[in-house]
Amino acid sequence: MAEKQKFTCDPNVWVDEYSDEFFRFTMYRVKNREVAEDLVQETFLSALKSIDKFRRDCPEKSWLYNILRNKIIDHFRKKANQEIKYSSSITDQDEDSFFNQYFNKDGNWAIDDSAESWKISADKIMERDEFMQFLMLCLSLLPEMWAKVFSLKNIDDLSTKEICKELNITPSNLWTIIHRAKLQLRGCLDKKWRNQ
Amino acid sequence: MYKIMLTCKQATFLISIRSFQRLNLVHRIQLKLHFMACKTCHDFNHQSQIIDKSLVDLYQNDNFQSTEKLSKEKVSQIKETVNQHIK
Repeated sequence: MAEKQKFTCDPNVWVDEYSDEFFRFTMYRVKNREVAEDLVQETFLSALKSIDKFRRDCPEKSWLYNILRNKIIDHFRKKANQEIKYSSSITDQDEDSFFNQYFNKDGNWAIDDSAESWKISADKIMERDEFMQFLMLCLSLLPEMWAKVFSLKNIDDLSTKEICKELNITPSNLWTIIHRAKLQLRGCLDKKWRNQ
Repeated sequence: MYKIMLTCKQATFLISIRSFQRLNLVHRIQLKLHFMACKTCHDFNHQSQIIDKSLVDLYQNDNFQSTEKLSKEKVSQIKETVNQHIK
């Protein structure tokens, strides 16, 4: 995305310049025209509200994209609340009881649940629309801070040191969050993937 | 002294953090040995890589072949709503 930095700060220009692209981006993820239209509109409105906080050292389009991504995640989070309630129970769990779901006292798998359905290549799996849908849904079921770790890494490209600083946690906290998040994401995706 | 054989909990820990930080040689060897003995962790590693690649795609891929557009009416409606909020 090597793009010339543009700062219009004009919501009408945003709508002309970005609404189709944002709409396609959202449609790819939510698969519902009405919802996608609403999320694009809400993105511009949220941007308008927080225009004072906009850091001009980053491109306007990336800033708007971040707002849109958060809107999409929120949409899935709301959707998820109507489904299985993983996240609340898991956030409150202490470390031992979280890991006890997966591992026995010796530290080996409590249940052997290697999934045959994941055997195809990464590219093939990612081509399937359902997989990205499930990923969004499962991501939204993670406690907010855990999901934030992935966005700081993938969107903001922060180093682990910077992530710790941003979230005010120690490296050891960060490793535990990543471990727990990965176990939960994989478990959630596996469940969705098998039941599709 | 290093305990060479990892438990599954330790192996999944290393698998999970490797997308954030390069593992040292000892950990990489420990993982390889563990995979030879444990199919579930071997599969977990594969699944973890799929998840990492998908997360990159989810967060970074803005290029879509689709040519879908918002209708002109919808664009005008969004502009109208946005303008109401400016005033």
